[in-house]
Amino acid sequence: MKKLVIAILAISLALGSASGALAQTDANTLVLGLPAMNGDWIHGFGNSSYDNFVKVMLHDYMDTVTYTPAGEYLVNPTVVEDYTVETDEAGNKTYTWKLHEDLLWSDGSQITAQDYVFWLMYFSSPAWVEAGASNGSAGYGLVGYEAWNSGDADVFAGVKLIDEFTFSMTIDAKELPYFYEITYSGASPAPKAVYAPNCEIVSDENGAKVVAKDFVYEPPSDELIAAMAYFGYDTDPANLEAAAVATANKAALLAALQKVAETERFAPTISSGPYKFVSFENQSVFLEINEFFKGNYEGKKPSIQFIEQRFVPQDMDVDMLIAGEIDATTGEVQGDKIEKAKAAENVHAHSYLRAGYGHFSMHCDFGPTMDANVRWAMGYLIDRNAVVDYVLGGYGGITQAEYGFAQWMYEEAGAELEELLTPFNLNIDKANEHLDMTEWLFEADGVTPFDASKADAEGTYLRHNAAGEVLALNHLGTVDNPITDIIEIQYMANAPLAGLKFSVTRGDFNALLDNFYYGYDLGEDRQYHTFNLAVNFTPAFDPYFSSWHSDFIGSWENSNQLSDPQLDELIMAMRSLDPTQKDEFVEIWLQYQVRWQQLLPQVPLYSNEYFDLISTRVSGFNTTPFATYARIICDITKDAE
Amino acid sequence: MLRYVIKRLLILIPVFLCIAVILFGVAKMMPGDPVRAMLPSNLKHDQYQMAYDAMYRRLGLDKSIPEQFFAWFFNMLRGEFGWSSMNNRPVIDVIAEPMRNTVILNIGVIFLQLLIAIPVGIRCAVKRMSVFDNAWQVFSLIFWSMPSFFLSLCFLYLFSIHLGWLPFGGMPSSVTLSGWAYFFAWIRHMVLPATVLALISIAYTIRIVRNSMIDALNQDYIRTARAKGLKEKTVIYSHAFRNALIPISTVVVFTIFSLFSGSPVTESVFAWHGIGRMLIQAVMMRDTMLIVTLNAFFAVISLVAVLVADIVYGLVDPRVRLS
Repeated sequence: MKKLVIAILAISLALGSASGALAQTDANTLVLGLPAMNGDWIHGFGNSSYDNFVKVMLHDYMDTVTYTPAGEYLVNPTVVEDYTVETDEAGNKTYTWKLHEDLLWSDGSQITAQDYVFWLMYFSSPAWVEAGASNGSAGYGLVGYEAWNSGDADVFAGVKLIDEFTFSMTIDAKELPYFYEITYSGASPAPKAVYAPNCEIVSDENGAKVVAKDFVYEPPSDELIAAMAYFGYDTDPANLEAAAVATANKAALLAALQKVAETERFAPTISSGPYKFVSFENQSVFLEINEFFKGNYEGKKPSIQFIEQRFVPQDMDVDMLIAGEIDATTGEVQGDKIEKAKAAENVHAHSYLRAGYGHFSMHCDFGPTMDANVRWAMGYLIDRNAVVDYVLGGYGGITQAEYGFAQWMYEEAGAELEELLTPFNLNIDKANEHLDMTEWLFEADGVTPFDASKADAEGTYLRHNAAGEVLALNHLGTVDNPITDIIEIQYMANAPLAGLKFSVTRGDFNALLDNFYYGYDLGEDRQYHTFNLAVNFTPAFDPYFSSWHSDFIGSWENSNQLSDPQLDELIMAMRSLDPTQKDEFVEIWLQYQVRWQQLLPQVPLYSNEYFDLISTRVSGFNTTPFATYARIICDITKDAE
Repeated sequence: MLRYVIKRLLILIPVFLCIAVILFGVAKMMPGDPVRAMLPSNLKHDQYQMAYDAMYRRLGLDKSIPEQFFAWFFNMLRGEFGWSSMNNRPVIDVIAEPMRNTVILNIGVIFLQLLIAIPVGIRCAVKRMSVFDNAWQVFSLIFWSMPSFFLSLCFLYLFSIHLGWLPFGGMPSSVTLSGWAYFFAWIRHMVLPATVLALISIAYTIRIVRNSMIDALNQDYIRTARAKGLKEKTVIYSHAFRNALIPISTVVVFTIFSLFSGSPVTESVFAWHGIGRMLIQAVMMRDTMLIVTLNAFFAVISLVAVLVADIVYGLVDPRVRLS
């Protein structure tokens, strides 16, 4: 019996460790250890950053407009042979793109202008949304976008297919001038022959439309026309034919896109980027080099044959990296793990500042946080240095308003900005000063003035308004979140000292998003005033689309529901500059930051220093705040040993 | 026997219906808007309502609650389990791969469990209070009482971090490996989770087998058998073991049906892409249809296991009359 037991255990271990020590990753494969991925591999589905790495490597290198790792936009010379920009009498600006003729899909077929026009059209069509996707900002700002996007028009007036390798995009005059105008002229290719073999792109002076291939119109019978006439319907043959054709066109596009949503989304058969999709199994996605890839904007091609993005538990990723099971892990922020990796001989660390920050966010249309002085009091009731030390192990900094240390504006005018802004940190007296400027001035009877010296840490003495309502804020955070932990620790200790009752509820991330983005829609069920989240900025910093303009009050896009005419004015002034007015942009940006801080809809808590932890076998892994490893994959190499 | 099985199967129908009603009711009572959870985050305001309405209709939420229930129930019977909000695709597509992984892992566990626990349990009973018995009792107590996450972490530290013999977890890939290399990669990745699960199962099963055997060995007919001069092996395996089979068969039947049930903690620690880990993720992400489908599946498995166990009782013990 003993022999049997010993034999079984021995065989198990022997089989398991058959090759002795753990094998290092293959020299031809770059293995990234990441949190779980969703498995959506085309744009329009899901918002996982880790899925997005794959999407970038599959689909994002053949854009007409791209950006450098430093976040600088440029016309992609690998894709665009020539281009012209013309302005018509109405002020509309037309970009005409002439493509190189040697661009290829991963199956060897040619990338043509039709593929770019198809991308602009399907990605902004209502059919794409009906297929379950989001259409983001494709085609936004072009003439006729609203009509095409809403389904009111069957032609996209601002997009024209000129010849096999030439197409044009016309930016609507009402969107101009726009500081990031070049982003409106960007387009990607989509493989029309694969995605929509049942459709054709037809283009004339009115714009481009997607039509059903092989559709033959059959006029209704005389009896049906008679019946329609009887019930008062339009029986004009031309109108009947036009309606039937429009219906068929919409149906053909919808059918094609639904198929894309059910198949290509999960296993893309074709791509234009440096890699092509191989498989997604057991939470690992594999990509293989695309031998037909022409190169990135500098003409560089990738050198590593396979990319594997593997799910690894986040508390073990550094151990796995040191053991050689994975080659890199990205975006690390925990100090202890960074130190451990730095101490290992076979790992090196690459760091960069975040173009964004984590924040304590407040709804400006609900409860006490409607008052900017209450929001400022919250700013003075937390020790933000402790947040950086506690959560980030010291690897990070603190911003005073809505900016990140890696933004180009900050690099140009950071010192000036810091002088203009009011630095703030834990200060109970200052918090009380701000609260003394609110309606929360009384004891529980609503008459006796509140005396800050009587406030204690137990919260037995709180501020009330004249109606006898207590000053209380409800915070919603998430479980297993160190930021929620430190917020709870700090505010529960400090808020009572200013006579403020603070409570914390923890929910899952969906509950947080529900209450944060759609709080305005919850009616009687609304109960939370504050939240903890984070924001990252894209290279095109346009706060019109990122929370603050009053055009979006009553929608998730203005998530804090902040409405301020002065801020609106600055936002519009900033975005309405000509792209050449860089200095003016920075000047208005400074004013914008000052006004934003006066309103303080968020208390910025920390701006991380991110670390990519990389095996010493891997070189060129020089990510930036704007360029993940997927965007610089052509620069990355791996040694055999 | 046939009449008994048919009768029991018919009883399962209302039982399952009740379970289905409870599961559906719980799913409907879960907080949050399932449509909102599934919509992409970057829709513009005017696109949002259009997408919301489309998804609302797609999920059948525009129908009454009874209509939704019956649609869900009959779809489930046809193998259509709804839409996973976490993965944004049909539930059936989501669970196939983890189910396969869990079954593969559990085959290893059950193999080790039955191969070791039954002979050891019998021997412990026969050699009661011996060093052999005491040693296995200590083993049993330790591993039965030890939380699986703790045991998993100990194994990870020892075999992966300290000794570097075995992978930290995860699954092998068929892209870079094939043939025997792929097979051995599976074994290597399975060893730690399978060993942890097997040790806990063995600890539990040994106690069941030992106690049943001790009860059987104390019966008068064993004394009679020995008095007749039968060989000890015959006494133990033909007389005692057969009479100890009812509790043991219960364990064996439920063990075999546990092939399909995952181990949330162990699978999570070892990043084994199994059904247990998926259930945890589904609960964390409030993926209602996935939670309901998995629970309905586990309910069916449990009901069938109970039926099979009852049938097995009749087979192993003639005194049990199935009628």
